Amino acid sequence: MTSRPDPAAELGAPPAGDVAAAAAECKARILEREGIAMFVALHDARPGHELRVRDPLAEAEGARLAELFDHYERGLAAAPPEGSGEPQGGAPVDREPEPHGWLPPEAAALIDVLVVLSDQHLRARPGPPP
Amino acid sequence: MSIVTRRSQHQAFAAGAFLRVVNWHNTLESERRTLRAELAWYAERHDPVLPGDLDRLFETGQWGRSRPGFIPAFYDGYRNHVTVAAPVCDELGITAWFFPPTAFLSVPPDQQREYAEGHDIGLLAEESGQPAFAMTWDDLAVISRRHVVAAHTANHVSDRQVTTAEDAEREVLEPVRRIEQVTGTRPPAFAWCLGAPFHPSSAAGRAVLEAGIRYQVSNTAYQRIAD
Repeated sequence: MTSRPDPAAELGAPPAGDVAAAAAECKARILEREGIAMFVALHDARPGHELRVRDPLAEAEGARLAELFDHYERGLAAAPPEGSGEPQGGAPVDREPEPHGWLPPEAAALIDVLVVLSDQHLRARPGPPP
Repeated sequence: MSIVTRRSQHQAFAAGAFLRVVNWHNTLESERRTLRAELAWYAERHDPVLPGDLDRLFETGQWGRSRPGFIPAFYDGYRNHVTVAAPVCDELGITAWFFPPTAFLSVPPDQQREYAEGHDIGLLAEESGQPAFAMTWDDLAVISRRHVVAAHTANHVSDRQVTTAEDAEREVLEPVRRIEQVTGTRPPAFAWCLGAPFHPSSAAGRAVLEAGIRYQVSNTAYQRIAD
């Protein structure tokens, strides 16, 4: 029996507890910087084709990434609308997603989740320059 | 079925069907050290993904690499991609993907600021003294020797701006042909301004297929659209 490889360290890190605060920080940072990291899906759009990944590392990382995705999705869904001054937590409320050009609301909400997920678990964090 | 849903994204991730990408646009000289540090950080942990890696994954389900892959992507054909981004990538041994809107490369330098402002290509005050803002076609040919050149329309338009055969020729087919002529390789991927996904029934989607593109790049996915 072979052991599953460990996901990359950034995926193994615990998720942000205060998702709304992490999203706000991320939004502010994106406005002033380049190098936006994103986890994106792979999809086979060819008729009659379906992508079936059979790679131990990708499968192990994918399971963890899906968990993190769910965490940030729930966190953003539960966050109060921006500027409401309400405390975090409590019952989910309808949250206005960020505007993303062509996107319908559900897709815009998806991008909001991907942005904060990727900011927390993919963005480069180099040390200070020598 | 739309792939731009939370359910679809979750399913793809859970199945291991995902990719790490990092997107840059304007890579200023003043940010060279930051860019280098960030790219070095990624390169220490990941392997740059080439089109052949994606082809293999889609055909066999195997990454064929011991480390996760990532795609550093540089959008919009800035001149500083030639003077900053590509040299930094070369120094680090990283293969990047470049997405130039091809018409920008053909605009005379003294008209490039006005063109950029009219086509959602951001310029910053720091660059105001530059003689040109876009890379040249010769620059693109040089970049293509070590990097992937993908297509990003001619005039930085969204898919919604391609509704006729004339639109398709101008914004998809001609840019793809020109890139292939200059680099010797058909662009493996195509991205719309604003990052819409592949819509096979739209004029825009049909044009991308007709151009012989293999991968549609969107905000949320890399889609294999043709063999």
